[in-house]
Amino acid sequence: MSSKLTKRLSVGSALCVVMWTLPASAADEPPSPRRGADVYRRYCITCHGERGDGAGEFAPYTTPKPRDFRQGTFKWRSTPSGSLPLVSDLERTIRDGVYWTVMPSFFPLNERVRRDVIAYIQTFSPRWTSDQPGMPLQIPPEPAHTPDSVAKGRAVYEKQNCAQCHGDRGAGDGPAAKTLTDDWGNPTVPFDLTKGYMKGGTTGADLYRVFMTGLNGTPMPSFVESIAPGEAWDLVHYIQSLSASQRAHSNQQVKP
Amino acid sequence: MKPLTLLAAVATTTALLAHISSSNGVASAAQGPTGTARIVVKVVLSGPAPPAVKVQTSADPYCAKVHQADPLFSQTVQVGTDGALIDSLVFVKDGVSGTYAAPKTPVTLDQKGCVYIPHVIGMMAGQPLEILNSDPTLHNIHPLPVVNAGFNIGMPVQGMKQTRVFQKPEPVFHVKCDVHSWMSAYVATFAHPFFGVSNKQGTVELTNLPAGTFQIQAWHEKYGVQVQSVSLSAGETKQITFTYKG
Repeated sequence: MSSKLTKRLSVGSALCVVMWTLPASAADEPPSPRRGADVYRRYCITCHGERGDGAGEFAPYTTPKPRDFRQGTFKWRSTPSGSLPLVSDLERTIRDGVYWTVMPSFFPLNERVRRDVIAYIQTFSPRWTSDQPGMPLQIPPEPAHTPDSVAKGRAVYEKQNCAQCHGDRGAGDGPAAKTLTDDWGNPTVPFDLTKGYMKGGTTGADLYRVFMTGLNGTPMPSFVESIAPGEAWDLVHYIQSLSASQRAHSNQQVKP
Repeated sequence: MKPLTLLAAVATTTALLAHISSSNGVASAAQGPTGTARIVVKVVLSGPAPPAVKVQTSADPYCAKVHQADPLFSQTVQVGTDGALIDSLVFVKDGVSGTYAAPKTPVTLDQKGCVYIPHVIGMMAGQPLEILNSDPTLHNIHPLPVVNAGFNIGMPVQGMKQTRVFQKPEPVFHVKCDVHSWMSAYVATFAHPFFGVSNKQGTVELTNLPAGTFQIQAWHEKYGVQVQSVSLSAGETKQITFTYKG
């Protein structure tokens, strides 16, 4: 047996190994802002603008306005008030969209493409190089959704004074509702909690996250300093009881 | 070779130790130059004061009740006797260098009677800001800094307190309460302790200054910015006046 054959065999097997590992390493490679720029120009630019300033061609016709990426300010986060979001938070927004707004779901783009476009979006704000996202909120498991929990949640709603903006029955018609503006000075309204489908996602945990971390850039503050985790789930159950579709979600028929 | 390596190791360790002790030293004695010179600043508004603007507080029944007998007026322009302009921020803009340690004692921002007290705050970067809610109603504290990280925290319970720190120096930024759109405060954070907010007499004293030439800036919410250059010898006191035209 010549050493030539051995050599050939080893080269062949090495090639096999390379080819076999190639797809895996391609999937593991870091997100590329360069590839993300192409995705952005195809899907995002019309609203969010060439410079990421939220002033794209369609922006004047939208309410609320498309996100201006230059400040690193994002509504839908698991991280503390004022903090940058996690990449997974941004990915959730791109994947699921934001109901009741112009932002559609980009579910058909695969995860790698979404991560690429996030890497590109991160180039619009220097905060992504100087700051770190804060520690994400820990959400305890959901306790049973009972009429008792809903009643306790109503007490939380009153104690936290949610009605000041969202109104006594959650219809977004509280006394302060008409005076609100976002951080860019655009008028904004408190969410009508009786509409059913929540903007930040459909699950109880999505709702929990919204009032505990707040929505950066909007009047909606974080209540993490004043609502205990147990109370937070009661409040989720109460808010879900305010609309028929949310009641259907939680599979409970509770009188609001 | 061996002894050399050992020597290098010893040298590195010594350098490291020296570095540690010096960085410890920095924490305790991180003082830039100070002295006994001072500047007494007077801020005045020439001409008649604009009429006081009454604030509509009916958006919150609690605030409306508090101000039923004692109406609330806008804090934007507050003028004392002889045109003294209150709540103007005065500070050394240029002329001091070196590092100054931030005090550990917090500055308090109270939300009381649906108003921020005080209306204008100067504080050192890294100094704690204690935010207090003295009202039995919901306030949300929503600062809008650009250099520092902002936040927006709901404070629904009377007596609730929280402490926050703005780590970096930053020119004046706005603090708002979204629930009560009339509530407004301004905060600036400095790398040095030479700043102050004008009192009812319109005066600010900048004390403990070293000798030197300083650019002194006055800022007012409505009337904007003015700058004056002041040279001080050691222990000297000088008086300057900023005059805004109403």
